[in-house]
Amino acid sequence: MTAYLYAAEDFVSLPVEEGGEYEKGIRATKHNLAEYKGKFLNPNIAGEYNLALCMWCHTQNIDVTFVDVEYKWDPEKEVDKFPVYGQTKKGPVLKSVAPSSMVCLSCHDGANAPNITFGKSSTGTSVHSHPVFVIYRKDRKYLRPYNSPLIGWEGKKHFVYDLIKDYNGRLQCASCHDPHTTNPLFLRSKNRGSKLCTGCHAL
Amino acid sequence: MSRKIIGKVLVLFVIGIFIYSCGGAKKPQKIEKVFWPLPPEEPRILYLGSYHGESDFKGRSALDVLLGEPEREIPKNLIKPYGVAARFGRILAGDTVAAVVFVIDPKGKKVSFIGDKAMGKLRIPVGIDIDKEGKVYVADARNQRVFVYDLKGKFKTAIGEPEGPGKLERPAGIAINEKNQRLYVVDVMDHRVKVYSLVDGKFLFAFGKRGRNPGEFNFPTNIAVDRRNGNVAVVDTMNFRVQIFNQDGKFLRTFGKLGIVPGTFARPKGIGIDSEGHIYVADAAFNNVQIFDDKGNLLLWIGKFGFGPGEFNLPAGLYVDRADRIYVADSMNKRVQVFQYLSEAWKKKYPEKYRELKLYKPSNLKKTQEK
Repeated sequence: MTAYLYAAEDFVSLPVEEGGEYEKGIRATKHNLAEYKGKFLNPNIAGEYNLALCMWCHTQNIDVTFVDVEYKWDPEKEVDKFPVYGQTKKGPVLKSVAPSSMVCLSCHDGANAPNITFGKSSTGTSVHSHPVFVIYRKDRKYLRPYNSPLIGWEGKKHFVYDLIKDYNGRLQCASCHDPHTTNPLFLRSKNRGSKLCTGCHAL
Repeated sequence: MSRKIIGKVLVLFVIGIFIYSCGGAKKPQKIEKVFWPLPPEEPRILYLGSYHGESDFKGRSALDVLLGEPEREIPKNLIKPYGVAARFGRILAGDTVAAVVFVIDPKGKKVSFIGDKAMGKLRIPVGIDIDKEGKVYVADARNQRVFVYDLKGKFKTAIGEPEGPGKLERPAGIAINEKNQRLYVVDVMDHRVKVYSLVDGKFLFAFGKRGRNPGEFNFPTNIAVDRRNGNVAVVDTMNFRVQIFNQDGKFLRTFGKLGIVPGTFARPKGIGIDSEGHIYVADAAFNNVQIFDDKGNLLLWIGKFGFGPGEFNLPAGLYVDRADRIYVADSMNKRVQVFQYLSEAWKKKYPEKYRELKLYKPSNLKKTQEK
């Protein structure tokens, strides 16, 4: 707790730690929900100060066991963690929507943050800008093969296959977006001259 | 020869069975009752049903499909509901993609729409509430106004000023208090709750600012009025807590913090308060609804991730009506789920239903207990 508190008091003079490139990115973007007038807002979290930037989304990975909880009606009972973002104790339930995309959707609902719309409306028309949660079919829509190189994409995305390999071959939010980047629209690569589009589509 | 006849009979028989089985979907099946907590505890919350939109009432029968009846109109269903409210036997659900408010009338078996006409066209409807005259208040996050309609969808007026402290930047949750004739609007981007008069729509005052201290907010989203005493409970989403104020905006208390264990929040959204003061908070990360008493002690939680009754996929808005029914906008499941809080008053009113429930043994009881 102390580390964090000091950080809040004397935030500006603290250097960003080595290897903290994600923190650097987040701090400069709208995804920095923590900082307001140079101070961190309520992360009510102990430990390292830069967790304050991460725990908004990485809730699952951050150790929040310091939160003292007991069942008032049965203090002896062991407190179980809730499975978060569409997972169960056995793992994710949905094959099409990865837990990481659920994290995006949990805020981007139109109220907290700009709305993400996808799928088909009941009238059959597509209502999203780019298909998401769909299988990457390399023979359709002028899509490139899996081994096409991606140049200058952030987050160890060197080939097209890297975009989908962790998600059952489906496109997720994180395939093209990196919430930590300072690129416009949080794209994995600046889209100058449609560079991002042509990473997958060959015209 | 006889073999051929037998063959024909057999084929007809198989077709008959096929047709029968198609129609069989309409037969009343044994419906599993879903309630919380499980026996031997006293049941508190009962699942009543789900509503998706027009297809709840207009489904094509299996016979139509077999006979190749042309598809009539495509039913308009919820796509991504957020706000929800209910009164006068109607369920209102604001859809952030279809950009209309669905008015679902389960008794009259029909669906009408609010905000689809040029006058008072909605873009992102979020918060909804209804007053006793049947006026519907809809907060539109993009239009930066609270629109007022009647139940038939006729646009009446808009609340929210173009400039000054009464300007709404991104209104989300709203709640009305009929006793003091006030409308409470949560402004997400301004980190404030703004209060308007229900009589003339004038801005009265605002409370809160961005911060992490008591009475301050970080992206608050939803709000509910305690109908017993006029207190308001605000979901302070990015401070991971619920704050309670009196009707004039004076801070009373707060509960909840970041965590992934019961009693904490990770993505709290919808909130509602029943007639006994219990506070229901939907959490989109946990896919459940946690229930607290008015001091903030956790009493129970319902739901988990899934697609069945009482299971959620990114729940958003929540509303508790005057009969203690709980409506949850189950956004990614494209539906509104309805639950009943089994208060003492309810038990007295429906002793038969209550007895049935007390004697009911869920078939999955053993399995759940073993877990």
